[in-house]
Amino acid sequence: MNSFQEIQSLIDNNKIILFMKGEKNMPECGFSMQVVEILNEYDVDYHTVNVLVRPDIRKDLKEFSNWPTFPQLYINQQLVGGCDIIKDLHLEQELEKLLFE
Amino acid sequence: MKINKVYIENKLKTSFENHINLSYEINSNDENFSYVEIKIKSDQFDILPLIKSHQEVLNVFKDELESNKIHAITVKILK
Repeated sequence: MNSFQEIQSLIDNNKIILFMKGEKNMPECGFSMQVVEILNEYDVDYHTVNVLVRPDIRKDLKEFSNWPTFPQLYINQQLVGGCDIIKDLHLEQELEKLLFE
Repeated sequence: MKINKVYIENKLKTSFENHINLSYEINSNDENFSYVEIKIKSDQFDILPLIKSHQEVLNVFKDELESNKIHAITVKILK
């Protein structure tokens, strides 16, 4: 399986998946940390992939998503966005709708 | 090429030269502009889905992000 196929299968098999720098319990970038903190406010399971230990996914996901930075959140196979968009959706109470859709 | 306000401004201007009523504000807390905040507005962004607008702005600086000359960009699409 090449990394594009792996990315597709990760997204297909996880309703909520966050590609981030660091682990869920130890983010290694302020922006990833902010998103984890937001997601943790909701009672919801989500999968994370640490792109720092997966340089292949880190490289190919940028192209896959047409999004050049991390974190990247996918919900129901759709790219929701990075830190800025997620913060805004959270403040506007729109994130909850997406998470529990 | 050193990243500064003029550099960012020029890239935005060139990339979105077909945008009507384009306005933007560029800020950074550090002199190297490794963390940049871009607030931007145009008629085109007004009708584009938010994620597409973010994608367009971020992708202007794809190379700078790739080479880590810019570490992160905060984008705010003003309505």
